[in-house]
Amino acid sequence: MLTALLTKSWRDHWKGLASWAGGLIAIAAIQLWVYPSIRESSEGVSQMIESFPQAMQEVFRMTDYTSGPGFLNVELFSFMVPLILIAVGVSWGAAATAEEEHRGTADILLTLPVSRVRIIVTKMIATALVLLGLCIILAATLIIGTRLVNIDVSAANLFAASFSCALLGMLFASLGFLIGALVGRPGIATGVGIALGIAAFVLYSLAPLVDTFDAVTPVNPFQWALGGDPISNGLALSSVGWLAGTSVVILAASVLAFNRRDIST
Amino acid sequence: MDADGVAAGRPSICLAGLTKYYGHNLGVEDLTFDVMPGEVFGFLGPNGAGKTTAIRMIVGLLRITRGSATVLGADVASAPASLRHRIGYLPGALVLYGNLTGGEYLRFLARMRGGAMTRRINDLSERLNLDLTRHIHDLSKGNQQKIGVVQAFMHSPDVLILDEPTAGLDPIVQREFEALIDEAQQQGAAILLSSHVLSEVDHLAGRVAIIDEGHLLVVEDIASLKRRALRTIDLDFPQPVATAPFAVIEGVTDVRSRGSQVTCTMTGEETGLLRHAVDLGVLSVRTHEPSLDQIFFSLVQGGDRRAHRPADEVVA
Repeated sequence: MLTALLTKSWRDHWKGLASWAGGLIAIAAIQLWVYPSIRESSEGVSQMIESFPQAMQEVFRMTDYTSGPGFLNVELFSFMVPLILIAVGVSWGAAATAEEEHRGTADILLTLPVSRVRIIVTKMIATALVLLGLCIILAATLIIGTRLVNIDVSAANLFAASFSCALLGMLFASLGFLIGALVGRPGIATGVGIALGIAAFVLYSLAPLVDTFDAVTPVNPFQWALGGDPISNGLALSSVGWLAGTSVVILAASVLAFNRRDIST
Repeated sequence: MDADGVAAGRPSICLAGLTKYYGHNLGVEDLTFDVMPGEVFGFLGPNGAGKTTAIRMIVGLLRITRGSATVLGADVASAPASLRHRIGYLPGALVLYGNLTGGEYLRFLARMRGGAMTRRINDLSERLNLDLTRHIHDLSKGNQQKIGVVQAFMHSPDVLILDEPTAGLDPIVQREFEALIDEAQQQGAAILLSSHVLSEVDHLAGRVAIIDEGHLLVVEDIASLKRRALRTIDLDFPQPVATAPFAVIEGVTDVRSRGSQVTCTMTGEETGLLRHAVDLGVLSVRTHEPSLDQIFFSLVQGGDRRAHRPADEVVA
């Protein structure tokens, strides 16, 4: 195993990772801290939500807002957590090979007695483990926090929701890998990857209102990750399969592209 | 091929019609030459001639459009990555991981190469006077280049591919670097040394290949190349002499005199010139080493550079 490369990836980025982890813990903690006051005034809040335009309720999927799981779903899992994990994933994927090539450090890395395939696959593993680590940190925060503020939701479902978002992050990470391997420019790979992530998010959010958007929902990764409401229903095998399967296909394409690539000066 | 691949009489590096196109743009075309075990081979050409393109194909960073590059008997296009255990490469534009110290970086590379190499790293660093405890982003260009040299030599490779290796090295370190080359050569390594300055490879290399605009101009012994090259000769006489008789000597062009000194440029054998000078009682003769520019000029005089192919040069 290329443990040297694996540990180097993490070591190089430990500051960024620590701040993402801290950020996830903080937003989860703040929402958990706010929730008891929402619950206490649940009647008023429910009335307020009902007074919102129907469109807004649908876009933010605000049914069941005052129940603990419903609240966490709206405040964490429909927006903040997926986008954070997508951002982390895309930036890791985009940096993996394109950054080395763009800066010029690839010249020595890729002339070591290690194949390009092993190099990029090791970096994919590093990225997957980063997302898994962030998912575990988030899930642990939520499991402890929900116990403290008496929200009735199983640890398994909290993990399921976090893990779905991590898989979503991995899918967009694989796009970062692919674009990076195709163009060798980390800026382009990050930009396009994030743009695709936001586009998918917008399509998914507006789908209840716009029929043409709704038509693509079945193939929208956000639907795979969040459509089954994992915080209430747990992990659905099909959504894990779609997310993981698509990621693996894109990652395999990235490996092929990287293996054929001319490493520019 | 025998087990260790360094068979006597078999080239360590073998280029056969090596060609690279970037889309429709030419990188290099039809490069053919061999580097033998124990040979230091100079790879010369002006900046942008295609030296780095050729080298990057040999080490596997660029994919080959046509032709082949063979290293230690293995075609680099299909060779397993393990072949690179036996290759040391110093890139032309060296970029290291700035956030690491020199020691951390070299230990990382050693681990990626599957060994510790601690003694060799320490030994090389000491010889090059390299401080391994400092962060790379705090090091000067020259000190970073030393790290590049250490990583190329630390696994005692059978083939060394060094792209403009002395860039930024001060003269003392350069001498130590040359000693490293000598040692590697004595141990039978094949060394490909690229440069855009002849004087850098002059006293190290036996043979050189010269390329320009992607094409090979010549592969030749450095000494015979110099003999053929246009060079400047100063002749000191006891008194002023007539310049006209010099101008008709074979190979001599551009004769000038200042006081009792005659300066001329010439190509080919110097016998005729020296005989005439001795007849006139010459006091001293100084030959200026031809520069790479002058060698280029002699190789391409009278024609478009691109029209020249190695085949033409044999009869030149």
